[in-house]
Amino acid sequence: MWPLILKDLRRRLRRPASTLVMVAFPLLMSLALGSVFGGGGANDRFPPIHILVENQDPDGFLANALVNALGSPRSGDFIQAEAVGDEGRSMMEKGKASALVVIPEGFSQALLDSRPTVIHIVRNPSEGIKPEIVVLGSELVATYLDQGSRLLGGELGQIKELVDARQIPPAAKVGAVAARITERLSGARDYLFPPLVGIASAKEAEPEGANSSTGGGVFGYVLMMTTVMALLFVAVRSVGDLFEEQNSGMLRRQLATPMPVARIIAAKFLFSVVLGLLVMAILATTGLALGWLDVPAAPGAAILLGLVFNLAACGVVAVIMGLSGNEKQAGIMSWLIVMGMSALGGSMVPLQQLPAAMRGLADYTLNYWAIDGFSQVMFEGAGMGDVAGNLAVLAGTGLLLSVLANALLVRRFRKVAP
Amino acid sequence: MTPVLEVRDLHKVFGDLTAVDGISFSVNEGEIYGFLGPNGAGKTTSISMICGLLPPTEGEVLVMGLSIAEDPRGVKRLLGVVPQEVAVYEELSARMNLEFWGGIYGLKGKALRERVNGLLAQVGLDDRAAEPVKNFSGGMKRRLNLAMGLVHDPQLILLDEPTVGIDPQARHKILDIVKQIAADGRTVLYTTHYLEEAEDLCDRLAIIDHGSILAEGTVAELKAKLGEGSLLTVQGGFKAPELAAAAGAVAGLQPVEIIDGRGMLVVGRDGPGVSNALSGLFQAGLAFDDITIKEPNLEDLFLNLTGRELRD
Ligand SMILES: Nc1ncnc2c1ncn2[C@@H]1O[C@H](COP(=O)(O)OP(=O)(O)OP(=O)(O)O)[C@@H](O)[C@H]1O
Ligand SMILES: [Mg+2]
Repeated sequence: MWPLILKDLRRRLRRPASTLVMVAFPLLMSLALGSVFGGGGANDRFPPIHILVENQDPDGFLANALVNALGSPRSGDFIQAEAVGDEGRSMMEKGKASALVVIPEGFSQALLDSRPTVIHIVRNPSEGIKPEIVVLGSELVATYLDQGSRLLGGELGQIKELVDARQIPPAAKVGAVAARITERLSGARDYLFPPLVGIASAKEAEPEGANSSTGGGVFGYVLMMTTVMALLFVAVRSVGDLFEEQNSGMLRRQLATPMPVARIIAAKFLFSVVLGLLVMAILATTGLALGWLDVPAAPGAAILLGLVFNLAACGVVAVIMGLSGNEKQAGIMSWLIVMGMSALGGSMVPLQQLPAAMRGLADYTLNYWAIDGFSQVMFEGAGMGDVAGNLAVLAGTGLLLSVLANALLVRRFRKVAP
Repeated sequence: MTPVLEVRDLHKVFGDLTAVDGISFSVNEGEIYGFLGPNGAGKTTSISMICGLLPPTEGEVLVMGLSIAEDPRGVKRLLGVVPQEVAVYEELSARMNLEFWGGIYGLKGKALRERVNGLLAQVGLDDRAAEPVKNFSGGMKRRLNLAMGLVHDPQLILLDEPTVGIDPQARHKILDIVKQIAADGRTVLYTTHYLEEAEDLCDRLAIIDHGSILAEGTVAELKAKLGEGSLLTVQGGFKAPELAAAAGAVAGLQPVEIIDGRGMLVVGRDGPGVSNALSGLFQAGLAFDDITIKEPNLEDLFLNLTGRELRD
């Protein structure tokens, strides 16, 4: 079992982009949403960023969604986006905004086709950054974009169809979320990361004791709720790795060894749980370092919640994959279910702010049980006993689904084409 | 002595297609047994059944007396399988790939490290061991692909076209490794559609097509089935009638074409043999500047058996 897990961890370490995306996503969301929802007083630390957006891909669905996302009320005070035409550059020269984001022609199609595409950002020289045109082909961003479109890969095309067909209402939402993620991965990074650095230094200068009991308030809460969603995506990626191994012939090779299939699948589960815990640990540490989170009274309860939630996440994803007809279907289905659970379960909108009707559905999502448990432990000083119910639900679901998923996946992957 | 591999009447039917149609053979310890056949002959399907990846429609596979159907895990432990398509973890290094496979078979610690080091040296990848495999050339990946099937030092190694699509130099390297494996007492089942490889490498081989074995034996035995003898070409300062007369005096030596200074003769299968034929000609007082003896090759045999070329 261990060699299998070690191999997967090493592979992930050698190709960290997708994991980095999972880590970056909750951090970026926290910054964006945290400021929208008030930021718990921390808002003062962020002067609003005024940006201009020049969309040269007006017919592209992703480009439009990106523009909408940037310009939506949600981006609120933190990012003030203004749609501009080609006058953007001259406005920049007059120092009218912090940055100009140029979405190139054919941007949407390029992402759909997984072709490289470049978003140009013109920075404002008077903001203390050297006057230069920053091409977002810098290595990190290129990796993000690449991984982002690969991560969402085929699904993007599917979502586009759903959106275009306008048949299933939630699909439009899904498309917007896809665009949001794309935005996070691409355009957003360049103006979101500098504030991140800024927070760290601003905090150092802060006098002791100021507002320390509430931690980062909304920032911490958003980090927690989006982390839960990111962990579901970690599970999608990790369990979905079985398909990748099948395609690359590695699974076939493993099946020719004395190892039973069930062990190969169980190892993939364990790997997924371990990776989920790692991602959670990185995010928690970052949250602590940024002052968004405080060390909880019962850290054990938080870790245990993380463990059982990751198990349940793998279980649900694996059951979907086990039931799906083919790889593509498995990818789309698990993606939609993760999105749906996240929307209903409080990973996208805080539970308190969900309409009452939807609030009732939240109980059926893993996100709810995790977020409810984490929020008690992290923000209300709850102990193990207080979240016993959450632990039980997640552990029970996790075990049940894992057993079911194992049976389904054994059946699916035992047979190999010669 | 129990053969290392014994295959009895193996069949595989996919829908209407009979991919393997009653194959039987056995391979002894230390032998390299070849499976020579064109695309779609059923080589990979046979290998898949032998290593337990595919249940046979009919028939039986025994490895060192153990039945794959009854004791799949026991048999799989004895096998090293090298698939036709290169299957390696591209993002990992060669060393990590090998460590992974060794780990699966229960090797660990020092034993694993030593084995991996030995293999890396054996396949000539020791100086590139730490690099991600995606940087490797096709030939290097092939060598790693091979090494990955050998980590646990299996008794029987199933090699499915391990040299397909690589340059002659890289191919030689792989053939040398295979010979080395057999010299170390391991048994090899080697599929290929390259005649030269089969001739060079295999102690015995089966020519298969459409899922059946058309002929089986050592290279010499198979050639013997051709019925024709060796083709002898001589050149020298003789006149055509002199050679014709001398050849006529040797039983079983048939002239094919004789002109002044040059002659082509067939030494019949049941004839005197090449050296006797030649000494017969020498005894007649002829002197030659140049003698070539061409053995019939497997290509001719394949053509003979199937009526078509081995390669598309
Ligand atoms: N899973 C399958 N379903 C249906 N037909 C199959 C399957 N696997 C193989 N076949 C068919 O069985 C026949 C034998 O295929 P096989 O792969 O064993 O040939 P091969 O000798 O290995 O050929 P190559 O030299 O091209 O590798 C082919 O006609 C192939 O199309
Ligand atoms: Mg084949």
